[in-house]
Amino acid sequence: MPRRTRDYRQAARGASQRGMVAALLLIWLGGAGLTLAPAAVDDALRSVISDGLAPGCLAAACVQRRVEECFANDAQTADQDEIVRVKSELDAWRRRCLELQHRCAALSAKSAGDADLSLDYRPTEGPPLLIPELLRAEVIGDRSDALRSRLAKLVDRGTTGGVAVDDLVLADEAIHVDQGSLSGVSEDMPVFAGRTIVGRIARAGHWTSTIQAVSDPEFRGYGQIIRRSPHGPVLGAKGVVAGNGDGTCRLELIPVTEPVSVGDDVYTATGVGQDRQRLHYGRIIAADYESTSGYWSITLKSHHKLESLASVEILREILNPTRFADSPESTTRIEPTIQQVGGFSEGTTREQNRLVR
Amino acid sequence: MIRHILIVMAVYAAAVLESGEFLELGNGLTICWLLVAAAFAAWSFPAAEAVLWGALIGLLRDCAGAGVIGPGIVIVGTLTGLAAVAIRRGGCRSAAAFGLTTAILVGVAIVLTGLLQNLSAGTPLISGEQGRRVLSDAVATGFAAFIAMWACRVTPAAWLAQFLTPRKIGRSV
Repeated sequence: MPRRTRDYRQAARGASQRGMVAALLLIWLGGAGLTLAPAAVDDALRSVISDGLAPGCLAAACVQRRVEECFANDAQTADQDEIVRVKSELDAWRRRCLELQHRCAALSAKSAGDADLSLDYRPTEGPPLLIPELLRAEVIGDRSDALRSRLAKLVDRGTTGGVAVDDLVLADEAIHVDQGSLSGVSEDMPVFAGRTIVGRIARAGHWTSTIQAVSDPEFRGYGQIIRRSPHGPVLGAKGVVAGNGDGTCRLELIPVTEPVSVGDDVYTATGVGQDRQRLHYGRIIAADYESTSGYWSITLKSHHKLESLASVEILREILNPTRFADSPESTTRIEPTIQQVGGFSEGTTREQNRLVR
Repeated sequence: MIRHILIVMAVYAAAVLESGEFLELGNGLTICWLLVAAAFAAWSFPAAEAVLWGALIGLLRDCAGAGVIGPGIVIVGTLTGLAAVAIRRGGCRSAAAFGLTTAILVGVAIVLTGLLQNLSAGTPLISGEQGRRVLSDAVATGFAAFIAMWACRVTPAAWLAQFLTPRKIGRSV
């Protein structure tokens, strides 16, 4: 390397080092000065730089918004593609539905043709042996002393020979009705007011009976929740209806996994009569979750209050008279029971016949 | 002169990117765009000019923050000058070297700035969370600088940059 060139490079390197040292001294002094400068200087510097960066920030925000709009348009396009796909699937399912409807109609027509062929062998429905019958009974009182005094006057007049007051008053605190076993009433028969079940026959005497209300603590029944829906009634869980003793009932043994809501109705779990009609227990007025037991705590309230009713209806089953109308042998045996007593209860027919004679 | 215009545009773009919440990465990672510009300055200018550009970038960083203005000027300016001297003496011109230089510059600058800020505020000098943040920011910024340099090499912009700048940008990654 020529000496002149080496000298030139060393001179340039030295100049560069001197320039760097000078620059370093300059920035250190500037930095120290700005560090020690009052806050007003800092604020002025910040505002100047902020104003200078404002156009760039505005442009960057515009670019960012445009980019986001582009991505949003892409997402909207994707949504439209999804809508088109779903519509095509819907059309396909509609065609499938029409095919199945045609096939179902064809099978129904074929089934009807088969039924026409077997028309001569179609079974006929015979009359049932037992038919339900409602017996209306008047409520004659629920207080034994008042009832005794009232009935004692009638008995003392001698119009009911051989009948004592104790034969009419069966319990001290119970609602009495004026129908007894002579009318076909027996214990455990359900008692209604309209289509609402209000109790059961607790004790059946010859001429009177007592009723155990559904709100009685000893009452137990089999109930099922039925809720209303836009598509009709929906059957819910089944449980045990028990009285609380305060005019309300509770529905027990309903697991918390079952849907229950206030306002649902509770009906008997089994139907009554030929058409198996369900009878109403009451409406749910409270439903609480019991974490310890795993069951709902459901409170019902009946529409009717038994104490305020003047008459009730007792459901009983009698033999179907049409089954024995053409049979002389059966008529001589059964007809007096049906016509004179108005009902049939196993175990009381002989006694009823004796009393009628 | 053209180099100075280019670095002005780069510094302005970096300041805009850092002033707003543009291009912010997830998981708390942030790219120190201004320090990437400082690395470009160290890569493209002699030591004295790199020191001055570094001081300007430090001033912008201090103004973008809420602390005292001044420490950033000293720290970034000095580091940029040292990086320029190191690059000039090392002679390695690859994109990986540029990314590594940027990562070191970012890490040291953030650590020193944080130490000075904590010292002036009377708080503990550095905590574990700050250490993790410094490391993650340094790695993210170094990777971004590496990608930027690699993109400059594989696009027509590389030809323009090599034509305009007297120093050739590296031959291989």
